[in-house]
Amino acid sequence: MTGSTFTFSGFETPESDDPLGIWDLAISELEVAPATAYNAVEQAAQKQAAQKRERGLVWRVDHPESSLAAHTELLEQRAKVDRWEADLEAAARRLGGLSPRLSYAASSSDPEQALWAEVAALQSPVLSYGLDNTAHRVYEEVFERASSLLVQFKRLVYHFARIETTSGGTSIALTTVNWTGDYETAWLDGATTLEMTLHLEAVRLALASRHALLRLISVVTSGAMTLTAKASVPGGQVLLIPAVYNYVRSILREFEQWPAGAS
Amino acid sequence: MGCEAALRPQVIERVTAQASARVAVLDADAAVAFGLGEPVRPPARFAPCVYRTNWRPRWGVPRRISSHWTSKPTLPETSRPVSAALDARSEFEATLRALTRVAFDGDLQVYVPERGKGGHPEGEVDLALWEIHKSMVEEAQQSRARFLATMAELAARLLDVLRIGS
Repeated sequence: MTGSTFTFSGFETPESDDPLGIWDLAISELEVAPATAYNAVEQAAQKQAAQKRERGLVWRVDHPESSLAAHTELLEQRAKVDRWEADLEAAARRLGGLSPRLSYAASSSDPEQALWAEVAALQSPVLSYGLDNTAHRVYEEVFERASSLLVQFKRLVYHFARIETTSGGTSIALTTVNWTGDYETAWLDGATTLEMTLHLEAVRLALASRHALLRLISVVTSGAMTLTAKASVPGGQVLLIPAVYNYVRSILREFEQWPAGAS
Repeated sequence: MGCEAALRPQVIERVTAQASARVAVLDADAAVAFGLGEPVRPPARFAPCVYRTNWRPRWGVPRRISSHWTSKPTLPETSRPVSAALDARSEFEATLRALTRVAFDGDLQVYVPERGKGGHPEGEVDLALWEIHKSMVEEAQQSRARFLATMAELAARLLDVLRIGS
C-alpha cells in the first residue's frame, strides 16, 4: 500500500461510511461554509447560491507520489468493488427469498430478525394510523430516515461524476462526466504516462463505485416494494426503505467476513 | 452513387472543422447545467489537453461515415479557458488535443492528438495521449452501457413487484 487517500464528497449515508469500504465520505466544502447572513432573506439567497455552486459528486484520489504501487492499489480497490457487487447480488437473492410466512418461525439470523421486527412495527395499526403520540413520533422518525435516504439516492442518480487525481499534492487531472455521457478531462501540462494511467484508473474506480452504489439503490428500493406487497405494510414503499437498507448492509458486512466467492 | 459517395473520405475545410470544434466547446456548458462544472480549488498549473466524448443525440444531422484527421491540421487550433466547463474559479488556458464524438446514430468523429511543438516535429501523432484517449473513450462507452443496464434492471425489478402472487 502506498497510503493513497480516496475521498468521496457529495454523498452521505446514515452510518457516515462508504458502503463499499473504499472511500472516505467528506461533506462538500461549499456545504459547510459558515453562514454570514443575518436575516432570512439573505440566508435564503445564500442557500440558493450554494445550491448553484454545488459540485455534485466528487471522487478524489490523492497519491503521495506517482508510482507503480499506487497503480496496483487502484487495481486492488477495483477488485474490491467487483467483489462487493457480487455480494450485493447474493444479498438481493436472500432478500428476494424472504417470506412473511416464515418470518416468525424461521428467522435464523440477526439481520432477518431486525427486518421482520421493523415490518411488524409498521404493520401495527397503532403506528400506521398514528393512534397515540408515541406512535406518531416513531412514525415520523421512520419517515424522516426514509426521506433522508431517498435524498441521497436522488443525489446519486441526479449528479454524475467529477474525478480528481493528485500526486504529491499537485493536481494531475480532472475529469467530469455528465448525464449525457460526455467526458472532459483536463491534464496537467506535461503529465507523464504513469500519471495519466493513474488518473484513468481513478476514473474507472470512481465510475465502478458509482455503478455499485446505484445497484444498491436498485436492490433496496425494489426490495422495499416487494416486501410491502408481501407483508402488506401501509406506505411500506417508502417506510421500509431504511429497514431494507440496514438489512442489505448487515448482510454485506456478514459476507465481508467470508472468503471471496463464498457468498 | 449515393453509397459510394458516403463511403468516400470527406474533405472538410479547416474553417468548418474549427467551427465544429467550437460547437463542441460551447456544448461543454451542459456540464455546468448538470452541476458538474462548479468551482473547485484552483489547480496550480493545470493546462492543456481536453478530451471529450459526446454522446448527445443530434437529430436531423446528416449521416456521416467516420472521419479521421491524421494529417495537418489534426485538430482545430482551439484554445480556450477550461474554466467554463471544468472549473469556474481557475483561469487557465487549455488546448483541445483529442476529441471523439459519437452521435446517437453511431456516427463517429475522431480528432487525433498531434505532438506538441516543444521540440517534436509537427504532424506526428502523440501516441501516449492517443492511447489514454482511446482508453477513456472505451471507459465512457462501458460506463454508459452499465448505467443504462442498471436503470433497466431497476425498472425490471420494480415491474416484477407487480407479478407477486400471480
